[in-house]
Amino acid sequence: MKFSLLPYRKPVGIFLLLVLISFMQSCDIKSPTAPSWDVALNVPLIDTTYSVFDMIKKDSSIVKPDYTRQGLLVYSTVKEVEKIEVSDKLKVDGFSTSSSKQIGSITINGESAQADIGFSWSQYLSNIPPGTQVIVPDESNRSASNDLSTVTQFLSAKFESGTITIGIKNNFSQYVTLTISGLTIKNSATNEIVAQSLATLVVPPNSTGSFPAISFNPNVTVSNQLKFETTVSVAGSGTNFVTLPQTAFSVTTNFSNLSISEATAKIPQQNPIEIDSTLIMDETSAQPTKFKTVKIATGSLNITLRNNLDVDASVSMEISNLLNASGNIFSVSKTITRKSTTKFVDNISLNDYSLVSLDNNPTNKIHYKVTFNSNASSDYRTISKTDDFQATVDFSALGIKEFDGLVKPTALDQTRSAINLDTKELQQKFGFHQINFNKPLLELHLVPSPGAKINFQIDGRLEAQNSLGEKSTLSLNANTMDKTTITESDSVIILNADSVSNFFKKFSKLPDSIFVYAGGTLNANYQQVTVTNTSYVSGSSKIEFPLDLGISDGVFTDSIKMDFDTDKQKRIRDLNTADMNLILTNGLAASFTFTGKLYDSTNTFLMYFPPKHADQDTAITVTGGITDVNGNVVTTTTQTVNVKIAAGESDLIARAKYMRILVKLNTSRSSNLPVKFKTIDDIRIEGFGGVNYKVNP
Amino acid sequence: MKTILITAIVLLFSSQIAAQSAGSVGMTDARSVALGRTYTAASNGLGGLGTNPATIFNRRDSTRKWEIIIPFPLPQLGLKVGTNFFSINEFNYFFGENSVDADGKKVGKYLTAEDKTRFTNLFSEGGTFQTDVQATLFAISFKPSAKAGVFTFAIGDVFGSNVTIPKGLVDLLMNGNTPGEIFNFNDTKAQAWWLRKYSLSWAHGMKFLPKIFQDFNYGFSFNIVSGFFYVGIDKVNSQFSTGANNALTIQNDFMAHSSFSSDFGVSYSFDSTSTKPKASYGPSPSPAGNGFGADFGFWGKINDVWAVGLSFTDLGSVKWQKNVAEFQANSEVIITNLSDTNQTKDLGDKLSGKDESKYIDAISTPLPSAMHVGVSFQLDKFVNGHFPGKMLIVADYNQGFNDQLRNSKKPRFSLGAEWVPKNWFLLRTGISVGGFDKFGWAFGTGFDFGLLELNFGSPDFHYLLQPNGAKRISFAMDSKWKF
Repeated sequence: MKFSLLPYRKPVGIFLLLVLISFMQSCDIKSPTAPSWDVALNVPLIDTTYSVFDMIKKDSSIVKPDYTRQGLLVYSTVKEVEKIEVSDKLKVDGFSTSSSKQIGSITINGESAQADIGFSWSQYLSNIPPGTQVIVPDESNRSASNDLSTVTQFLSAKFESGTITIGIKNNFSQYVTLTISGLTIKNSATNEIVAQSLATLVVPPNSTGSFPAISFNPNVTVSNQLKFETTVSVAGSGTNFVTLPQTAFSVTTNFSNLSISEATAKIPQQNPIEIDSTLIMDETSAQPTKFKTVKIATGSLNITLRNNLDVDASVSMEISNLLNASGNIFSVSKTITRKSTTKFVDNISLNDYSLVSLDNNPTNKIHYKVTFNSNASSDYRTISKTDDFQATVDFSALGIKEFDGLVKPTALDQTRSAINLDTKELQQKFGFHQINFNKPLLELHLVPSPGAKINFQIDGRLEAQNSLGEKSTLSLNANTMDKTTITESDSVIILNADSVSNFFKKFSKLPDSIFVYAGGTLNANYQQVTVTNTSYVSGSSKIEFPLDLGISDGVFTDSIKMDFDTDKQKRIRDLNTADMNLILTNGLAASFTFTGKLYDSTNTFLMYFPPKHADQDTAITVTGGITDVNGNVVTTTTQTVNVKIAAGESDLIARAKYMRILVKLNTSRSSNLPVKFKTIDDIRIEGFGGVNYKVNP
Repeated sequence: MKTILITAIVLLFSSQIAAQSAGSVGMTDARSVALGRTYTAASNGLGGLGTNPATIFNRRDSTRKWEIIIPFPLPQLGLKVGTNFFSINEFNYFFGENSVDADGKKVGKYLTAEDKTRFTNLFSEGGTFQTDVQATLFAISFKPSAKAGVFTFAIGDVFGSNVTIPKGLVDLLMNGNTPGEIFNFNDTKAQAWWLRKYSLSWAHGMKFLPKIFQDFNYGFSFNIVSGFFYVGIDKVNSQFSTGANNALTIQNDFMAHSSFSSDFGVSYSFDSTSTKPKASYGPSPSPAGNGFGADFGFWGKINDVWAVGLSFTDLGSVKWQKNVAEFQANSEVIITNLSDTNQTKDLGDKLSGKDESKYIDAISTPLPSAMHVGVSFQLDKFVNGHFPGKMLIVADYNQGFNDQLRNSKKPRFSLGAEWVPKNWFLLRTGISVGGFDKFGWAFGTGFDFGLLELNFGSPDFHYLLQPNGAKRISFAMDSKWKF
């Protein structure tokens, strides 16, 4: 098969080339650029009903979990209040006591003294040598005396009690009977009668007779050298010869049951002496601190003992209310030398010691007992029954860790808490002649720290100051609060609404913060409490301002940034003209007047908004809704406002960097009586109109 | 030669290939295009595919038993892209002017009131953008003998789209709104598809009314159609109005369907649960729909001068079953407050019917069924050879039965002439009136080298003479091997 295309390639190629050139030459499609044109649009710009709820719902600083009260909008803020701490205020002032106890009657050991009486007393026998056989004649009432042997137990003593038994031994072996009529014991040196017996004792030969026991003369200091005096009668031997003995008779005195008031003697161990006494905290206070248990943080104990006796003493002491860190009753023992003062307990730290009530009832008494045991002396000591032991117990001021009982009403330091009203912007931009809150609520929620069972009486004040220097103060007391004392179960204090209202009436600009100066008295009720030094009272302040208020001559000013980017400026400039109708239906109990002024970047005034025209004012005024006597809006008001934007004004708007707005506001009722702003109160803004817009894709 | 043929066949089956499917207004082969898309009585050989299968029996050179279309040396391609309303002149007028503003930025033409009226009027009879691409990259026709008839097999693709912008929308954008005014968008149209047609045809000659017809052919084609995607708006009954206090009301009422091959990785916005499938592009996507169509036609030669033809094409439909979505909305949107985002947010979803849209099992779309009636007049025979070369004059009446892509219920008349001054060189021209394009002057040429025939044509040749008045670009070309 012959392929016959090749001969025609020239005409075919020429044809195709011509067609192609024709296409390429013939079309003139220009580079496309989108055109622009003006279009008149009639659009519903806005038809929105702004309820009060809508206005504030996005403001988290205002909307709180409980922001309405029966439909009434409530500005609510809850802020923490600084802790009011117990800290070192939980303490007891130092207390001490000093007590003493005399030793009282002193006992000493018994002793005997003897004397042998010769015949010097006899008118017949005095010159006859002993051993001689003689007939002893009768004699009557012959005086006889002699020193007794020296007493060794004391040098001198003044006896309060004690008995002396005197024995007489007739040394004649036969026939001679002696009759001893009365006996007097005297100090040898002074002849003071120590003891005396008037009894008559008949003593047969070679026998012993005793006088009835006699007592010491308490008014006489007995020395250790005594003598006796007596009267002797003799029933002679008649006709019998008797051998004359060496001595006629012997006298033996026995001292027993000796109790002396003072003496210089060898002092045997005496009976123990106890000081059993109490210390009293806050003794002079009408409402002293009384404890059931106390754990001590700081403080010290000093105990000083004085031994006024001339003998050493072993002393033991016990404070039964005071337990050491191990829970054992505090006790200490020491020996105190005679006639000395000893730091028995020297400034020991009482950290972690406890004071406990012995009967589990609150008490401010601390019981202690000191037992003195005097030591025996082998030498002579001078001692008196009035000699005493002294004990001084001194607790320094005690800082307390834990307390259970009746703490005395104690003032705690005041703290300062700022309640930020989150109105910084508002207080800068919003002023008024007067703001009149109706029934504002200011609560202090103060709770004792966990574990503490206390009552706490609040005092202090509220203070606030605004940027104009206007200041207001509200004291926290029974006149301004529903109660002054909180407990762990009753912790909310409500401030008197009128007081709070008056507090705010002093301002013509809102303060940014309210300062709460809160302090108070721990256990003002003087009840049993449980508290520690780490206990505190903390909580919050809750402020609820129902928007039930009157505002007179309110002025809100602000500057709104209008710094449009290039794209937005272009779109704004594309707006040729606008003619908008605004229908304003006001269901709020306040009138508003709005004016805006636009400025460029050099702060040069550009135009009013709404623009000023011959037939257009620069202010948009909205009359407030009409209220009933309770401040509730009962009738809305409606205004129609026409806003025109003329040619060229959109350029000014596009150039604007910011707009200063001025909104004048007055609540609807006369005399600035409060009106209610409820969440359902609203203002409806219907805006529609024609815009001539340059479409510039 | 055998190797070349086998290679060409393999290439054709692995490429996007297309067969003719004319509808009443669609692009056809280059010869018919040059004749003003006149083909019913004048086609021959593979030129009768999709227009009048009876004419396949006819051969320009009766000694050639085989006719083959392959992409070499020229693919058989018909392309038309443009509008029916907007010329280059208009484009340049509205979009071709610019200036520099004070900021140094290029800005477009400012439209005066007259300009806006002119622009709006352009859409007065519907502003439609159209794309019509048809290609036959492989077709083979074999005529073993007159008695056996002609057997033909072809594979081809059709891609088309029609988008009509509603006049009301243009009016609203240009002139704005006034209270009480209503803008209808009922004339909104949008349709697009991609079909692949496998055609098996047979044409045969017979004696039929011998007193009238010297020769008479009949033929028919069975077409298996695979659809790869379909998008179409079935109904738009929406309107926009401005009421009291300038309240804006959009009455939205429309229904549309779509279906996509799974290989396209299409996911629908209303189906929030689906994950976007991975797209897998290739020459033969898996079908989204399948259908069957039939063409049949008759051709009768009355004498050496006159011949007539009658055909019905694309009788059938496509059933779309893959990823079939139904978009619909029947709602009313009232905007009383433009600044209220609750009213304006999701406006796109509301208008697009996102919430009401859903998957459905299947939809069925008709093929562009049409009837074609034609007549041909052999002028040189009529004047008994007193004419330089040969001159064939043909005329058609095309009537679409629906307004599918490539089809129109508006009748289209066409008249064409083919002059053959030399046996290897052919000049063709024609006019077409009616249908979508309203008017077109066609021109084209052909080169018949015996073994190879090359054809070129444009249905809108007049745009070459007034290029800036062109509303569209359209041309066709093909090559045909003959043995």
